[in-house]
Amino acid sequence: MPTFETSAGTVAYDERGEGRPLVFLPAGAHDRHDFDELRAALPGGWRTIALDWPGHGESSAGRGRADAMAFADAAEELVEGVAPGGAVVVGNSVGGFAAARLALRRPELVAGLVLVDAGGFAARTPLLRGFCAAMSRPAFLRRIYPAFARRYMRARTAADRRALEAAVATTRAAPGLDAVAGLWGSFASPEHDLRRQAGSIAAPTLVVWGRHDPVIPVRVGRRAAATIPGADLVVLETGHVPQTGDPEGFAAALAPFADRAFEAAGRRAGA
Amino acid sequence: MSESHRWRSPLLGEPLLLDLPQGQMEAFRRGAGPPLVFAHGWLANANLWRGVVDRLADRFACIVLDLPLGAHRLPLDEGADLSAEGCGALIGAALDELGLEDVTLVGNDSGGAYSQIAVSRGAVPVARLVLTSCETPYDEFPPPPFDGLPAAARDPATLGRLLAALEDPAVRKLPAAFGLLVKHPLDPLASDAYALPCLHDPGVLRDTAKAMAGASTAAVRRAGAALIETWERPALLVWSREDPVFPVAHARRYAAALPAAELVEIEDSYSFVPEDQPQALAAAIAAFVGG
Repeated sequence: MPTFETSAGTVAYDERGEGRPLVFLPAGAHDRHDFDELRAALPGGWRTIALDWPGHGESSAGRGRADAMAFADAAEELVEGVAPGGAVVVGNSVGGFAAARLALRRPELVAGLVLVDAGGFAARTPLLRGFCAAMSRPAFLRRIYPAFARRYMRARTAADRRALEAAVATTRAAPGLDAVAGLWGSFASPEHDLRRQAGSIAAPTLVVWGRHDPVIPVRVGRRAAATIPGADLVVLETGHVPQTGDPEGFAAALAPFADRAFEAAGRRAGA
Repeated sequence: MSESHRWRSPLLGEPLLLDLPQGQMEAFRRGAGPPLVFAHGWLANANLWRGVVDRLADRFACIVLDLPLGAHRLPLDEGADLSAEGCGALIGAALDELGLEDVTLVGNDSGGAYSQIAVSRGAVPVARLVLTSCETPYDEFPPPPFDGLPAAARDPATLGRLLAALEDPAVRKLPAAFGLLVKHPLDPLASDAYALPCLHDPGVLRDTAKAMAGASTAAVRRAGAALIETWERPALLVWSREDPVFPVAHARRYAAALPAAELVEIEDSYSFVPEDQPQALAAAIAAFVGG
């Protein structure tokens, strides 16, 4: 398993295939295997790279307190390291936040942006702030996570069930529990709110959302797609993790989008 | 303006108006037989019990209180005490006013906390206590993720801004709202009737803010300790095995500690057991009371 040193800790990642790079960033409490079925469903011609966040999957505990901005920094450093010429970056939930933040900060690294039930685009209501505060406490998070994950996974596929089991396991004990609690502690912060900057995202963007996501409702995705210039929206009949709920449907939208994104990037580079 | 926030299910039976020292409070009555009195919790109302009442009214007198906890229609008097002890006293006053004997008191969620406080104060004609997915002496009142509400509720305007998000039915389904309290889809009529009254009536919001700001873990601990020590009448705990908010482990411990309690665990439900599993709950109550 290759690893990569980031400011947030050492992250494990894997690479499959040859071709233009696609980077996959999972949700909090989740690991890179959430993208196994999607990666397998893509046609040839892609070099796919997926990471495990600090404290998740095969990565070791992170450096310092986990939060969404630190994870986004880690993702930025990884993409710069493994795909310095630019990649299509696919991020689910906090991974989507990290991908969008990367597109804003380092547009040259993001040939295309795929936001999947992404964080950073929901209104920071007092209700949400209260929930994030509760979820940032490890004892409560550990207790609630099995029911919470069942709710947002709406598991129908074998991949859903694997992801559900792994996410619950991540929140059973350190370091995963503390990492996920840290993430939740940052979800209501102003730095996590990308709504005002969304209109400045220049990368070609595909927004993929689960119609039945009970954590970040689909209309948040619709609004993000309406705000980001030229963004396309695909709604799948899944919960919060469309890549395990409908990998074929996701792949059918992702492959042509990524083709177009790299063609556009090539034209920009040639111009 | 739509009146959906005032909806009450016809399954609840005839409306009653109780004149209490704290003000006027609504209740509903259906059926005849041994009396069952039902107490809901925060951001719910009598509608919570409609499916349970409908399954028991052929054998029991079902009286459902419409407590001033955020989804009621009639604000109480401005000076009404809605501290945790005050809400317990309010249930006691309602039982008094109803003039019932040999009552089985059934409480869910914070209505269960207030029921324990009411019974532990004594002087209420409660013969049996049924608690279903609510605070025990081992839980915080309110439990997370709702434990930020008391601080917000110290200022009704702040609470009002927080609850304003519930105007949107999609927001109500979030885990931050009803998403971890109700497992199965809520009837839209009931959902409106739970979520909207605070947004429509400043008097309702004032009552709600008082009740939420007055929540007290210590009061539930005291009540639980008193019941464990001295309450030898039958108690039934009906608990969702997968309740994410009120862990079943606490119910097991409480049932073992109470002098005469039994525990029925039920499947496929969150804390709003009367919404998620009215049939199982009604069956457990009927078997317990003997109807």
